[in-house]
Amino acid sequence: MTGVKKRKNIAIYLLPALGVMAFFACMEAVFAQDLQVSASVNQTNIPPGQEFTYTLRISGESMQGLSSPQLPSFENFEILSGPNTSQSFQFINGAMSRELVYSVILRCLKPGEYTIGPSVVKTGGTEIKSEEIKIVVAQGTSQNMPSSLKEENIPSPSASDADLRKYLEGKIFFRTEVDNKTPYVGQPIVASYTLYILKGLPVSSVNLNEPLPQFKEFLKEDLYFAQHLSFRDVRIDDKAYQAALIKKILLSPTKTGRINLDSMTLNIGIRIQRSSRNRRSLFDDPFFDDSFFDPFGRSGERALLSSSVVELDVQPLPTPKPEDFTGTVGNYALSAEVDRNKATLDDLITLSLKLSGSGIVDSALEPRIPPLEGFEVYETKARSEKKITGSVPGGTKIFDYVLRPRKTGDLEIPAISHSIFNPEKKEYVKLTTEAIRIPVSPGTATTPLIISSSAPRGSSSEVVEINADINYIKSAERLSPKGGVPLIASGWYLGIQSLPVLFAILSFFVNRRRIAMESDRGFARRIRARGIAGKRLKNAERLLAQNNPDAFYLELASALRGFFGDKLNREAPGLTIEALERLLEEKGIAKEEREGIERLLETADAARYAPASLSREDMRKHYNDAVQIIQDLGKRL
Amino acid sequence: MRSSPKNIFIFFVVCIFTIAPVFVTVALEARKGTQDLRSMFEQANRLYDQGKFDKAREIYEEIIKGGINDPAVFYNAGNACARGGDTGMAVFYYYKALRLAPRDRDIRENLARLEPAINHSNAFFLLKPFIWLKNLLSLDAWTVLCSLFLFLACLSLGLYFLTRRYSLMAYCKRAFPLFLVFLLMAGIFLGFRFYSEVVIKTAIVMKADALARSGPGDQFEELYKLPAGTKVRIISNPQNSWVRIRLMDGRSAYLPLTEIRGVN
Repeated sequence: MTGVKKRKNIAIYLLPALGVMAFFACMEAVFAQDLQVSASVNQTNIPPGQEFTYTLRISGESMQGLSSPQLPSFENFEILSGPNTSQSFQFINGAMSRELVYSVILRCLKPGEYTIGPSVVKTGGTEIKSEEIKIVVAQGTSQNMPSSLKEENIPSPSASDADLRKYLEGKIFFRTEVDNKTPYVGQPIVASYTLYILKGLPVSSVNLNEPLPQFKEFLKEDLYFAQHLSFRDVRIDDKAYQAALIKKILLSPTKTGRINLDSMTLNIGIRIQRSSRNRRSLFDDPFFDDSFFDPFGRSGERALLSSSVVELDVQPLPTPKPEDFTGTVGNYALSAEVDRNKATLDDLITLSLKLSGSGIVDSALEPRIPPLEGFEVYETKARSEKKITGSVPGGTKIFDYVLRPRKTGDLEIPAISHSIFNPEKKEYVKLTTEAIRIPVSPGTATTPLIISSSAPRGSSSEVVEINADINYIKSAERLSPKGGVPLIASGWYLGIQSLPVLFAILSFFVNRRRIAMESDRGFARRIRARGIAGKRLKNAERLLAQNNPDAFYLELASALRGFFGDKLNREAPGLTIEALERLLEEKGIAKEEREGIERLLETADAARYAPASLSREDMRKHYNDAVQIIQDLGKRL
Repeated sequence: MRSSPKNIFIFFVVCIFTIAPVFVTVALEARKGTQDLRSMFEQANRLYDQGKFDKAREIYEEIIKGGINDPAVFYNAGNACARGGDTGMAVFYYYKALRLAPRDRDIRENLARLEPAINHSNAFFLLKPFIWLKNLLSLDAWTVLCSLFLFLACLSLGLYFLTRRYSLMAYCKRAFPLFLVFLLMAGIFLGFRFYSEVVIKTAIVMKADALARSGPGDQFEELYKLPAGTKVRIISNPQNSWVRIRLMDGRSAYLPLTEIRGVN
């Protein structure tokens, strides 16, 4: 029973929860249904190179849970700008609706029919797809085009105003001309983009639309690019036009088959006089005829002008190809030369193969050189000098080979043959050099290089690295002594470092003592007392040796009195025995010592007056006593 | 015995005549030893010129074992190893030489040709002048420079205390703080040089394509294959004959001790 009750309780909580979840799921579906997704383009028939706008609109009352839409890949189209987004809100009868707009500006350079896939909008778990859009990119040729140019399918101008478009047809066009529509692969052709304007058409500005064509299937070289328009007069079908060359480019196709030459687009500004009879657009309102809006009675309009798309039929090179053909197309001559007439085994010789003539020299390929007996061949370096005469490309391409002779004697570089394809003759041409003989003598080279990056040799005016090698060994006059422990880690060195520090510390204390001695006379006397007494005692010893008792005792008494006078900072002549006794007592000298000093001084004084009463031994004893007293009291006083 | 000037003079003369022969003998022996090693060095150079790189290398290594600590010997040994195809040992010797002669262009150029690019750590650009200055002098040169500034600072301080000439005192008073600042700066560079050469343990990978693993043993995952001559920092003590290393770009791994050789 308890189990059944528990299950009922779970069901009571579970059911409302499931209900809430179902409600939100339904709401989401409702919101999803509420969303409207639509895709559109502003034009479905467009001439090549003209830009158009793809717009995706997402509208609805709520956009909760809406993720960013997945836009189509826009294959075959070039994205010029975007995706740009904008949104708007509307209140109608108290209900709010919101609209999100994604726009992408595109263009297509190649004619054809294309499909822009659907955009996908995800909200919650639901996907909403927009419709697919078909785009036709076709030359919009006009009937008013000069009849001699009708075959070229030059597109008519594109403008927002149909009247303007019709007005401009045949009056202004952008023409692409090539000098050869069926070139061989690798053969240079010249493409010119020229603007034609009927005389009298009021063109106010001409701007080139970016981005410029890339010509991905060609090697290209700009021959001319107009910075300022330079017009010349031309007549087409008895109509007077002004023509301005916009761009001239040298192209060399890199693949075979049908290739469309990329189109360019110009943005044209035109001031045209409008007549009231032709009003159709918004600005055709008579209000805008007021001279306030156009003081010259003209209004500015803009039109896009795409160049005609030219299809090339690129021919493959004929087969069979010669064995020594490496892919060079042009009209060239081949020559070979070396940089020296004779060499040693130490020398490096540069063999230069020179291709000169007309063609795209950058695309000229390296000849295959036969095995060169007696030479080691390093890699090649190529350099080219381009020269364009009129619109004909040409120049020289030089392949430098660095050779190292490996044996002595008369070595020969054999004749080198190299086949090229001459597009003018439409056949392969075999070019051959003459054999070159070089006498090689022995050199001094012994050790081969271990690292050989074999860098090629360039022109003689620059430093060329032939081989990368390590630098040579060193010789030493003398070898550094044994060691290995850094100075900073060796004890003796650190010990030496303490000497200057000790010197500085010692200097400090010496200076302090000197200052003290200069400022305190008593201190200075105390310090010097032993030294002075010592000198006097030495004199006394000398007198003792000379057996001169009178002078001896005089010197001995002077030494003792001077010593005590200095130590006690008293003047020696005024220092009586009684005064000395009192001062020594104050200094804590023992009575026996005081009495000994007193006796010695009295003896010395007495002996000066009766020197004969004292023997030499007595003098020696008195001398030793004096030395002893000065030594003992020197430290204590 | 009393210490008279005459006695002191005699004492010094005896000392000089007793000790001087000992010093002279020791100096002559040392010179003889150095001369022996120098003739070996010349012999090795001759073998190198004849293309006998392995023989030359053996002699260079014998000189190094003899205790000679000369950059020319290390450099030539590196060259012999490079010619013999032993890149790891060549880089090792070049690094040894570079420590003693940090401004030597030959060593730097050979090292640049041989060592892998990973050895060059990309230091923060503001630190580059500092590192350049630090590497301008060897550790011993920085030590001597510090000693010189210490000596000059102490001398100027001592003279300031001792002299009674006011002009000299004024010079010393100005010179002391200047030398103290120089001492401090040289001391900072010495400290960093000491840290990078002595405290940080650096090693060179000897074996080509040495496998660095995620742990100390062959059972661990192979992380990197290191070319011979790769400079690594040893960041742990050996564990089961393996050691944890850090590459110059900051990556770490384990390498067997047998595949590296410590520069310091």
